[in-house]
Amino acid sequence: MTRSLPLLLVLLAVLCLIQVFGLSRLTLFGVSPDIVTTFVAVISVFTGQRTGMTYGFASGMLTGLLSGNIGVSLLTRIVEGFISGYCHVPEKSHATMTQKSRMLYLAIVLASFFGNLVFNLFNDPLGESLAYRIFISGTLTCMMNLLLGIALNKLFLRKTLSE
Amino acid sequence: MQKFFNFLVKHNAYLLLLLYCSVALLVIRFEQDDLLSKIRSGGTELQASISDKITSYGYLFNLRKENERLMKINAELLSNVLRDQTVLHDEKNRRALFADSAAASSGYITARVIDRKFSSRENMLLIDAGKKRGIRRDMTVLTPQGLVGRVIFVSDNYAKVMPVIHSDFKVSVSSDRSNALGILSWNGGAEHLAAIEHVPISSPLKKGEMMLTTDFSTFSPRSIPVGRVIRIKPDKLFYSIDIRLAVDFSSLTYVLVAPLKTDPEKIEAFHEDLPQEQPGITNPVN
Repeated sequence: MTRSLPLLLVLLAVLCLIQVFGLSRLTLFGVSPDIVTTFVAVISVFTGQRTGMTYGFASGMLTGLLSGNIGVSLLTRIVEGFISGYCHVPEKSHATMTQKSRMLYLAIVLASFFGNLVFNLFNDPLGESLAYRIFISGTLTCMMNLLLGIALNKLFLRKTLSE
Repeated sequence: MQKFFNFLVKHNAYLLLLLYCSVALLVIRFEQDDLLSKIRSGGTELQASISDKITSYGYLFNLRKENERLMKINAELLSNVLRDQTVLHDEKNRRALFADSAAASSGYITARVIDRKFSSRENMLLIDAGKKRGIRRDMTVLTPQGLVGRVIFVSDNYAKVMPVIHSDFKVSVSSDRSNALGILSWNGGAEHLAAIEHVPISSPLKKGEMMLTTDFSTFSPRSIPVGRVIRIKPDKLFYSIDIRLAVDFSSLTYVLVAPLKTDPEKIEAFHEDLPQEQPGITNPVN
């Protein structure tokens, strides 16, 4: 992971662009899937809280710049990186691929939920009640991101998880 | 001290979180400041330009569909524009009619030409005013430019007008300068030309003089312009005169109908010695 830092940064930038200009437009009940959250969760699971938070900080800066909401975006991504870091699977872990996958999914759900929580504490773009935004939108966001995570896992992460 | 460093090493993730969160909160706090505002506006510019690029690529894929949609809108707009232009044009004509005459204050009735029978020998106009609006047979129809014709048939809501460019139409005219008298008639052909008959060669009529209606007419008020003399050719007893009609019949939309100039005694006196008029044939008497 450390060796491929430039690659990951480029990937992060690309994912931020995809999120802001593509996925953020695919809304269901006002909620859209967030590939950046999924990415930050994946990084946190494989490299730990500190790296996860740092990637969260960088991605927050990028998405914030593009969406015009830098501060909240920063805070949201940092929290996502920090929370998903609790599901960190060390490199020399003897966990099976299924266990690693479960940790990854848990990290995505936690990151999505808490990220959504932080974002909604500071923002109310649709004028909904806070409870609705936290629980209904939060649940929907978790489900969407989880589906995204499962798809990414099946498509790209099998090799990384099997190592 | 050692304990403090151990604490830091042990809880460095929390410290990093604290640091990052502080930065984020500071950014939130000072988001409206000059520097951050500039950064934000730069970001918005960037987003807008990228969005624009993405959208422009998207358009390429939807070009055909978009084109069809635009064509549809274009057709709708065109029909709207045409309709509006027609209304505007009609309104403009109507206003011009009132602006150039004393129509509004003198009992003149405005009417729109709604149909026209057009042939080289016979022209007939239909106007959208009838008995209900006070139109009567033999009323004079005119525009500010000049004489149009006379009403020959009236229904409740419409009236038929025999225009100057009708072979049966005749009206007494006189020139504005020399007061030469004659009878205006139309012999078919070009709708901007008519002839003046019965002008004796002794008359001082000149080319370019304006011909106006006279008081001799049984239906028309006097001094309505009819046309301008463009050609004078002497025959044995009378001049053969062509005039260019004052009214452009090709673009006639709104007309005025003058109140009836009825003087029964005059008409009675005029008809006293004339043979009986044949039914169905328009009275050629001017």
